[in-house]
Amino acid sequence: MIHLKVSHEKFSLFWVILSEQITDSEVTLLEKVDAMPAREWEEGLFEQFLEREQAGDFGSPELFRLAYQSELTRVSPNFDQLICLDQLPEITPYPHQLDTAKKVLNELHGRAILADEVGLGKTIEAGLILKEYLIRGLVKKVLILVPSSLVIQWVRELNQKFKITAWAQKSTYSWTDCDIVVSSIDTAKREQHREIVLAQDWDLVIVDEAHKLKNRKSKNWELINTLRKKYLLLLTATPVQNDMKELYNLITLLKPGQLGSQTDYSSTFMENKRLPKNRGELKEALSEVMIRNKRSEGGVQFTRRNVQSIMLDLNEDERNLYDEVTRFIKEQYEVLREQGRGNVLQLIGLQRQICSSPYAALVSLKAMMESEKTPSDIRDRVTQLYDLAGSIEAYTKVNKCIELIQQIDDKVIIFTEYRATQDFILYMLQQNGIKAVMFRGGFKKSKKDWMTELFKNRFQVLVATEAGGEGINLQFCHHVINFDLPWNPMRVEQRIGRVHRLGQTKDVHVYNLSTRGTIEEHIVSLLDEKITMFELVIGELDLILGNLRVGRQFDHDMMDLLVKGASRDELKSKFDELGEKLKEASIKV
Amino acid sequence: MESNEQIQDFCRRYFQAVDAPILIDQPDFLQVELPRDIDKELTDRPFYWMYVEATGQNPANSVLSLSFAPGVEMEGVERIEFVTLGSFRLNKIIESVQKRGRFTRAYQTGAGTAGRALSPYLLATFKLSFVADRRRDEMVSYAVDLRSGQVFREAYGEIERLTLTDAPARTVTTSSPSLSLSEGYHIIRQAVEGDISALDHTWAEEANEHLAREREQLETYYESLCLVNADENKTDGEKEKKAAMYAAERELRIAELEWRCAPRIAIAPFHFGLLYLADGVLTGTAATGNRLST
Repeated sequence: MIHLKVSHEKFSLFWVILSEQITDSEVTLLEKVDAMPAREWEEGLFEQFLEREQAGDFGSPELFRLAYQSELTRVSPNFDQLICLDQLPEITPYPHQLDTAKKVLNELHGRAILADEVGLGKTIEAGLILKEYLIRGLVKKVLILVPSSLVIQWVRELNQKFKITAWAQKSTYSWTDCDIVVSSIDTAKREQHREIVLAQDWDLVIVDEAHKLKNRKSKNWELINTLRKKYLLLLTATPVQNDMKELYNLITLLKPGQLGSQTDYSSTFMENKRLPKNRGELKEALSEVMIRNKRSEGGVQFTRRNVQSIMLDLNEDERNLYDEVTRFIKEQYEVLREQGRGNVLQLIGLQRQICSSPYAALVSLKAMMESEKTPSDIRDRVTQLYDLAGSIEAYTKVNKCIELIQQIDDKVIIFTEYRATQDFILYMLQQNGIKAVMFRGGFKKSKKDWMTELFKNRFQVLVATEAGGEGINLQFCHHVINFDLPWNPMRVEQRIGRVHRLGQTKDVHVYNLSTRGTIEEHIVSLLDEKITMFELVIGELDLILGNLRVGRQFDHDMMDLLVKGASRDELKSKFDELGEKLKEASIKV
Repeated sequence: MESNEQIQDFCRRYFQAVDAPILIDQPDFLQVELPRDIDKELTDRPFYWMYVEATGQNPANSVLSLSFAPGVEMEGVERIEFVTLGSFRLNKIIESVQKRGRFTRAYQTGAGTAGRALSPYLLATFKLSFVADRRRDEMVSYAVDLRSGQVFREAYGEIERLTLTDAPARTVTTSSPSLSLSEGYHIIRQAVEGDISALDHTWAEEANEHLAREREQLETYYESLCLVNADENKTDGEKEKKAAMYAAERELRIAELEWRCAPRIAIAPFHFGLLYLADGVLTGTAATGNRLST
């Protein structure tokens, strides 16, 4: 390595006069001098040359030529093109990703919120920008802050896809010794790390899931605000979750004052907490710091989605159980409403479980049986239901499910809401000689990866309780069975989104199982009609799902309507109302 | 070096130049034996070599198998590396080339040189980088006749086409310089500075305007924070503390802004050569003001 010192040689008038470049008038010359950018001469190489000359230690003319030729690969021939693409033969970015990267580099001057909707590849965009800056020599020292469950994945993607040597933070030395460090924000702000992190000059800071910086009074926000950084990328699909001020706080990290002072912002751009005003102006101001690609805007071609609702008839035993349990719930629910207290959630749960499988209901029934709070007359009733549920011999849904899997003869994901149902399905699949793995909440990332590998390479079926699964890509699968249906249509969408997303090359088939004469029948028919509405706001899914209040209220309202024996139209208007709430919550600027 | 062939050609020439025996040379494939000094530069395993040398072992030279197209397979060859721009191995080779090829002393040979006196020239190449929050580079080269002090611009292209050797042919003589290398370099630097100031600096003006706009935005923002602070219902101590905090933050933001957006031109000398050339070989180009477009 050759070490060079950089000296800042200021342009001097003295020198201009000496040079051959003196023009007619000294006045124009002086003006020119003012416009002249500073020059920085890298010093030291010529002195090395003199030493080598003394020693007679030279490279051959051929090596001299090769050196020049090799340096040409390290020349950025223009300001505004993405030269990194030549070095990334294994990546074929989508047009919107290329546009975004270019726009951040050329128009947003390297400080931006990447706010694409979920599934459009924000990390690819960030990777392209990082790679471009590295190749152009504008960035060397990089801090990447991501949720701890995604640290390893980021490191792996940067190394493998982008050929960027990035390191997962391991110790207090990582911050100083590694040029490119990936860490969780919680680690970085811990006492033993914080001072070291703050002492570095970061050429680029990337924050994934940046909505964690929405609160200006939080330690997270303060850390990013205090960091010394040149370029800054904030990645979030939900720049606003509950309050328009969150957006202001994010932008203050990037470009303080872009939206005026806080009072200006509130009066100019906020109708209320959730609704923007002067949208045109706001949009313009935001376009200088934020890029948001939406699925609905096209450009990204998704494969087709075929949804099939399969209506089943319960057998006599199952029918009997369903009716008994539903009657029990109705009675209890009304009692509770009159008294204004008691465990409504438990009843809502039971009503949903009984739609899923008798096994799922058994868990709740057992809990009620064993709870000391349950009055004795009710306990008898519950015990009776429990015995009834335990006595079922044939299972309509699971039989249909097995039949479907055998017909499909390809990878299938089965989603259910309940662990008990999941166990039951796994057991039944095993009995029928079908190889299956499972996912459930609380699995560590490594375990999920391992299960994904197994599913991809060796097993036909994945049975999952959890629709989220941050960072798990299952595009190699094209069939989804919804064994039971969440009442909230957005959760259905989120499930399907695991498979039907960017990178899926084939059409996706979705099978919704439901049983005639049950609540599920209502839900399924509403879904068939309304699913497109939810697809439109799909990008905001995580936003809404993160907002539990909306979700819970929806469950309560539905329960009310169902128990009251509301008409289909009433249920439908509830769905419409939810749709409206979503639209309001997602700011459409 | 844009195509696979050009990358392969570059690697082949490198291995030949450093005397690494090429074992197989086929389309899209090279297999090469690495002498110890080259191995050390290309494989990044210092501890292995420390161990080998400390224990006085003499292991056989290792062999590198390089492919220049994806999916190349060779019978009986394991561990084939796919070499592309930006790949680890090519980066290592470039590092080695640049370590070994920064400085040369060479003599023109071939047609038209027999029996003539060769004159000394200093050749310098530079990478000019026009940097704000974006960056553009350009390679430029200058030669100076060390007898007359005459400057020849864009000399590298002409010199590259000549046949050069590292020892003078017996039939030629060399004339002595009247300028030292340092004096020659001083003349080149002046020429570089002069050419740069004659360039079109619209890019820098735009960068300065952008810088001023962002700076003004920052100033306004912090002024408004300070006004609000002064107006708040707090003790003077608290207000002072906050004002100090805002002032520090403002300084930081402005420093970051300058760091990111202030236009500057970095001039990095890339390599130097002491060349003995026949008179009239270099034609030289006059300083052309807008040679470097923006």
